[in-house]
Amino acid sequence: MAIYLDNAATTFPKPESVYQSVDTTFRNLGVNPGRGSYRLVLDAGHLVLEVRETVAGFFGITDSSRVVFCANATEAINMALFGILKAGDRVITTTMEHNAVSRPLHALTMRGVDVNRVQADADGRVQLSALRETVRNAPGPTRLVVLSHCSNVTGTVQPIEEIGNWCRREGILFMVDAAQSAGVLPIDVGAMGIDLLAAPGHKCLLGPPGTAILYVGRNLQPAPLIWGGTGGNSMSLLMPEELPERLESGTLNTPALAGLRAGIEFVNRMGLPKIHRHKMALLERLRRGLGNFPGIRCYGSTCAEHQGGVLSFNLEGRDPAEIGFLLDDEYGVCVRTGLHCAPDAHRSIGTLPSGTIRVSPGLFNTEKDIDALLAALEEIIGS
Amino acid sequence: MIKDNQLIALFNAPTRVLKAERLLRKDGFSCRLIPAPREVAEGCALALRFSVSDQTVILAELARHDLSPRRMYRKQDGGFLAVPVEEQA
Repeated sequence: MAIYLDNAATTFPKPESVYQSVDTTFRNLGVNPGRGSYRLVLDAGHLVLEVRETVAGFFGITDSSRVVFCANATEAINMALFGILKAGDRVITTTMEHNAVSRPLHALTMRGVDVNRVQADADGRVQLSALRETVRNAPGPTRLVVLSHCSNVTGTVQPIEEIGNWCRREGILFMVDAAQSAGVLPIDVGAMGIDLLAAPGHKCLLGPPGTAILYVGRNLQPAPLIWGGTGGNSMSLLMPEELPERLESGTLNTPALAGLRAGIEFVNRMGLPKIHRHKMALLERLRRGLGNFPGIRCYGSTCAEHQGGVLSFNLEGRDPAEIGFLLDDEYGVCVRTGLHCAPDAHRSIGTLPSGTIRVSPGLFNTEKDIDALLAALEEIIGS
Repeated sequence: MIKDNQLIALFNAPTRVLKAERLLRKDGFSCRLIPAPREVAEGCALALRFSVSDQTVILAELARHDLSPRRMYRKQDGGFLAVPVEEQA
């Protein structure tokens, strides 16, 4: 059995309740919610509504209609950025972003949107003071600040509450990519001044692939990214004004959404502090073990408060890709090597072009898994 | 599908009508989601059916949760008579 330590890519395995919810829903309620009016469809519609409300409750969202279901966080981010930004708008982002943010922003520069990047410090942390300076030095007003809550490369946690509340005071929209933090760190859109929140369902919320959410703040009305059927007002060729329908054309993945609800319920039962502590304990064990090897360089903050569930490191003189291959091929250990779809972040921490070896334990990993990784690395280094 | 002593309420989004039905059922009201008749809604839409006798309390409850319907009709003499929503709420 492989030792899976790539939970930053997607969590695996899932809690048993997630598999069961998907299976039960698929078998018993495999109809199309919002399409038709017979009882099974209404039951499916109610199930989707309950998932929406579970998500809303989890993130402190008062109106569940502002929760839009998407296929993945990348789609959610695209939906927000392309739906809100227009030519002439200025966006401030950071040098720690995943391509899910960097690429749509780059595409938007071709449409006349100005994009400025705040430089992160050596640990990958973005200081509010640096962001403030970038906003103030910009030649015109800033429409939106967008950044990831937690880096998928270094695990560095950004001070989003501080940044969000500052943005709110300045009248700047604030968007958070919670790909690595949703289900690990507390997120409250009201308290943190978040206007747009993108989160995958399949990572630390423990749901199936094909699930994600976009939260859209009350005063925002994004243009749709996709046009199509919404189950109502069929005579109109226009998309509805109301959320979530405006942004949810086409059939929803009801079985997967049922699984997402089971995942969030699992997270709620366990509690975020316990989840964070578990991951930090495993990463600390790894960091301590790595400290005994020669030529190891770890990246990111050593402070648990500033750290999510990821640790990146390198072995001096060795290609991370080769280490990843050997870990998999000879020891059955799954880690992610390379650039992790985040070249900007690697540029910030000085690990271009070969990247790092990234370890991201999940809820079901144990100290034995970390010890097995360390033993494998010891042999690889020795060879 | 709709009797003379019944009202149907139309909402501006499927999610809202589902929310409304769930709220009312939780509160113990008798109501049911039905396909909106073609006389009052173009294309596909759901309508919430309930008794005229519950009209005042139901509208007040929906308004309290920011879920007031967009339009409402009463079945009368085989046709549908528009009922003002605001005044009733």
